[in-house]
Amino acid sequence: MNIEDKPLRIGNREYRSRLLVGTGKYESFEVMEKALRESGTEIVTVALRRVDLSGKGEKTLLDHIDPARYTILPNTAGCYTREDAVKIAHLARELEIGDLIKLEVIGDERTLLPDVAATLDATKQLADEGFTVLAYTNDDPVAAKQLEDAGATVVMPAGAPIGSGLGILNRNNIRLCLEALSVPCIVDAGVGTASDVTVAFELGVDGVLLNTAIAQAKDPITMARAMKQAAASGRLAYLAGRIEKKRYATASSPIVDF
Amino acid sequence: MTRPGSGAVPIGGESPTVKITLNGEDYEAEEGASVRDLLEALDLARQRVAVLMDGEVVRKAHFREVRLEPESKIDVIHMVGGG
Repeated sequence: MNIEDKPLRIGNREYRSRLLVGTGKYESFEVMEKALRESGTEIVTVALRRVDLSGKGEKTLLDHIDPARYTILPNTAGCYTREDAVKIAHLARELEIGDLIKLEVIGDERTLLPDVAATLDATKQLADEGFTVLAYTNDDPVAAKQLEDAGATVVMPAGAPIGSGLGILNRNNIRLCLEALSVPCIVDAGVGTASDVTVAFELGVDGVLLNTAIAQAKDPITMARAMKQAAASGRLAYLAGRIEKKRYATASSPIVDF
Repeated sequence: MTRPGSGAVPIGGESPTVKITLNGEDYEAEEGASVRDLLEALDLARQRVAVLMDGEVVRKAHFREVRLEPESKIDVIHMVGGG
């Protein structure tokens, strides 16, 4: 039997790649561009900040991201209140790049873990206003379900703190989130290397969003390729159905018969 | 209009100006200028930018109608790298 995967569906669009990749922290736009291409991603995240008016005609991010090739997913990174996050979403809407928003309302500067209550409020407001909300949260399955009920189109539990590279710290909770949700569950944050991505997909997540693990690898372009393969491998293993874990051995060869 | 920090005199001589704050810096815009006019002067009118005036989002559809006031605080925003 040859397993065919279904596409990842977000809103009214479908994607073959289940990796979402950030555009921050690269040493150059050129490296970023190549890494995004190697990763095979179709969705890239961006932040919204002031234009550098002393830039004197320097190239900007959009000179290196083709909106025809990638879905651009603006984030509300750096927001600590519902009001600020909603404002950034409104700014993003005026950029006319679609109605997707990766909603982050941060609760703690050191860990960058979310303020879930504020995220819930912002999700309700933005979903009512017609945004397609991808809500960054922690790995609490109760919070995950609340975000879905509040109108999140995708729920994005963190594997570990942003940029920490610690991987999926609580696999059981991610599994519980998956059980609680009927909308897509995309792990966002904390991935450090390829095996973290594979683990996430083996748990059954619908996608993984990562940035630092690629951008700050010693060789981001090779790491992007590794991540693409890791995602494919983890997803296939999940679809193939793994064996159960057992305490004792079960021989792979028949007993000796001579 | 003058670019921030450029030291240039207002284009067109001594036309009346209005002092605003632009992306955190003092800036002299032409009196009566609209948000659209400001973006034209900054060579950003054809770029994908969004604008805050006094902390509120200015709808793109209103760029030509919304006029800069004295002490206006303008932020011109675009997409940058982020995760």
